[in-house]
Amino acid sequence: MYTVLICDDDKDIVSALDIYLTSEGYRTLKAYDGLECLKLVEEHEVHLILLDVMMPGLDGIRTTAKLREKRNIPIILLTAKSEDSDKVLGLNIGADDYVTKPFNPIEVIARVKSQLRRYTTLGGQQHAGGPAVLTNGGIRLDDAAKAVTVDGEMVSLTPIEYNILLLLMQNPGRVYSTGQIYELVWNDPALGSENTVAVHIRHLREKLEIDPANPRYLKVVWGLGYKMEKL
Amino acid sequence: MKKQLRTHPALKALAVILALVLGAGGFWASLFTLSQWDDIWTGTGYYESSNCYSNLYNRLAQVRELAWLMQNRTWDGSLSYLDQQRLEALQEALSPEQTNFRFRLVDNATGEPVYGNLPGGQTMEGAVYRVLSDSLELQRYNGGHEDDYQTWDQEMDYYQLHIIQSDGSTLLFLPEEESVANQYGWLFNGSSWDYYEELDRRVLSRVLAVEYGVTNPQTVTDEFTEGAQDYLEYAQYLPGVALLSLALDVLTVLLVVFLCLGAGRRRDREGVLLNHFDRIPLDLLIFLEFWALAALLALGDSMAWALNSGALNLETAVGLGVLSLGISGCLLAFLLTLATRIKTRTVFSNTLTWLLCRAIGRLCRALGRSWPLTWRVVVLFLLYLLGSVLTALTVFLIPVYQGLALYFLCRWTIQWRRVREGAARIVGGDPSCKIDTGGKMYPDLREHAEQLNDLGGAIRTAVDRQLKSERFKAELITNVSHDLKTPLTSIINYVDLLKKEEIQNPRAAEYIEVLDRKSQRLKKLTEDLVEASKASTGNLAVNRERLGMVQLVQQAIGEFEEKFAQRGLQLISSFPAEEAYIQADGRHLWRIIDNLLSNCNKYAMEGTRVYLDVMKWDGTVTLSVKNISQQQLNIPAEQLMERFVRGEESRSTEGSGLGLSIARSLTELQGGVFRLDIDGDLFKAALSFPEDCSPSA
Repeated sequence: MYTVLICDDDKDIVSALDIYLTSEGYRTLKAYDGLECLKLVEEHEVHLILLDVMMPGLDGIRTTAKLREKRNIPIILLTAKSEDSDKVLGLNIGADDYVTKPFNPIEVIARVKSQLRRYTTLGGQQHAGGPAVLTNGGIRLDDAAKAVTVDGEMVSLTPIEYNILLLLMQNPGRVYSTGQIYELVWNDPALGSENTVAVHIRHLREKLEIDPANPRYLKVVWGLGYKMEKL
Repeated sequence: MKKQLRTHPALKALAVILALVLGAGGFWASLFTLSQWDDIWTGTGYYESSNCYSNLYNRLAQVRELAWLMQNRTWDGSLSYLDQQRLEALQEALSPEQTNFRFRLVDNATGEPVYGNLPGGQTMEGAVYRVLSDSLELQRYNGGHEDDYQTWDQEMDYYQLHIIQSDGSTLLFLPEEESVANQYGWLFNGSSWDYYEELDRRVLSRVLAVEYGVTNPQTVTDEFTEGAQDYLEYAQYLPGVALLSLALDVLTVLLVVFLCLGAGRRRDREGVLLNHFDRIPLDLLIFLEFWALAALLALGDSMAWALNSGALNLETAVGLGVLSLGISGCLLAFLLTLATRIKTRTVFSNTLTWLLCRAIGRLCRALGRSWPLTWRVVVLFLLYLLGSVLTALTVFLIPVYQGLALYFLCRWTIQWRRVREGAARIVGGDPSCKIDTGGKMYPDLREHAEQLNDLGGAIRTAVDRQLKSERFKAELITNVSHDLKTPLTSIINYVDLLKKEEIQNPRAAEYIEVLDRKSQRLKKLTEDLVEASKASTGNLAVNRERLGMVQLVQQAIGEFEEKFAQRGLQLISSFPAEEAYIQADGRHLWRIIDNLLSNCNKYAMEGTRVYLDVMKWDGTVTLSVKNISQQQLNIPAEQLMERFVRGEESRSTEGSGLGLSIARSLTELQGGVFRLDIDGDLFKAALSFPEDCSPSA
């Protein structure tokens, strides 16, 4: 049984999240500002923290910075700001993920599960299972077994989706245009049939990502192509 | 300390009195010294002094008169009674018993002695200190050739000469009688007569030589004795007087300098102050001073005459003293006021001439200002032409005048450039820039520059206000979005929780369903609202990079294909043969296309086709989205892009009504053009961006 610390200055949000997490079988701790959060982390064994950014007193960003001085606990930021700069700041300071308000409870649960799996089962470490195994963040691709897992969960892919993922995983960070992907995966010259690539990528994204509209791994570089974000 | 001294009132008064007295004393001492200058420095004694020479000259005048009277007696045989008396008086005055003056008259032609006052047996050389000589020309006309006249003899073809004799009778001469006419000075030259004075026997003339001098030693008492006595007396004082005059002059100059430095300054006040005297126009003052000095000098003249004629008495001394004080007072007052004026720079500005010129200038300018600009230019040009014509008469003035004209033109040009540069800076985004209107700027230009400055100020105020309001808006958006999103989060979460509760009442379940739908809609609306506000106020970071429009549209199609298929919409796309590159922010551009395609998905009639075309034409890349609307589009395209405006019937469907507004704002933010066309039920949106023609990286 994992303990999740929920920290938000809005009590209703805290109790709603409490209900969801409890029903999923997690033990919860509640804090209503940054200092309380830090105190609870000291006193209890905490496996994950849901942390609001805009809080009176010590805000989420500074709390994250304080926590990261000693702890390796996964932190998911809850933020009302949808500014990219805020997200980048939060991730840079040491948060593992973020959810923007107003959030969908299902999405929060999914992200909590994902982070906990990585923190506990995988220990936050890269498992290099041999030359045929590619990993990036929570994604593990075993080329020998033709198997793909995300945060330990098996994902079933079509051969084309698998090949596209393989191509992108082999060069994480590199941007491939639809034409290039078509030529490399289909082994055919791309003559106007690149539309299909975009569809396959969308399917792939829906299978890999928690929120396909805001992908974490398989990013769309609009006007240029697609890439696997190196994590 | 220095200033204290200079401005001390008592000290100043003392300095003034001292300056006046010392100045007057110095003047007279200097005058005396200068008048005796040669005597002091040559030091040859009385016989070489100016007094001796002036006495000699006076005596020579007596000798001339004497010689003249004696010659007249020779020519006429006798003298009138008065002349006889005069002659005797002169002979008496010039006798050796009366004077130390010695002279000798000799006929210049023959060397025969005529008259003299040398006692017997003495030579001039032996008798006098130095022999001086002069010549004396005596001449008299008996009758005159001026009355003689000539008449034309037509028969003989020559002039006849008529000579008027002293008794009034006329003699007529023919050329044959030329030898007689010669005696009257007339010579015949073939047709007329010429006059030669040296031949005219009517003219009496005699040249005498005068030798004169002063005896040494002196034998009788006369002016020479007195002069010599005075000379001996004064000569011993002269070096002292000279030194005194020098000292007085130096002192006076020092005092005047001291006073000039302190002029216009007061002890208890800062700066230079003008008193009433300093306010009198300078040219008027010079005029008054001139007449005051002239009057004083005229007064002095009579006193000087008294001084010359008699010995120095008390009245004259006092009079001269007062006079000198008056003159030096006038001069000192003038010097001091001049010093004050120089300090306050009012030497020229405080003159009647200047005031008059300025008044005329102002009148001209006032006249000019009421004229239209064109008139002024015409008048100025005519004046210039007039000046050119006038100066063309003198070679020297042409370059001066034309140079002056060029100077004024250059000055105008420089000031005009200053105004233009200032205007350019104001326009170029520096509205706080002020054009320097200082110096002597032409009034028209200054007016223009000041207007521009005011304009710049107004722009700056507007820009500042705009900036402040933008910042305020940005903050408002952030805060409002936070304050809206937090309760919305709770609503969504609790509605979701409610859905999971076991609810028996089917109507309650239905209500919850409505709540769920509406809260989701509210969520979308909030997000769109924030997005729209940010896009329209420009509070969005735009990272422009080179990207392919075709690529992006293909990616977008990939995202929407299935949604379209669900609604039975067929997507037909066309692309140019080559990738069309533009400079844009990929995420913003995606948002635009996302909005457009979402609209198609929401509002297009089921079973119709949606056309997506990318075109490259004339340096622009255009993406057009066309679809047939499900509902009648009964509002103009412009209005559709306004915030919250949607097709009449679409109000009930999901969507915020902000999609097109956001799309337009984002397009414009990235330097593109967003256009909507509605033709019946055909809805057409087009975005155009300039093509990025740089070679691909």
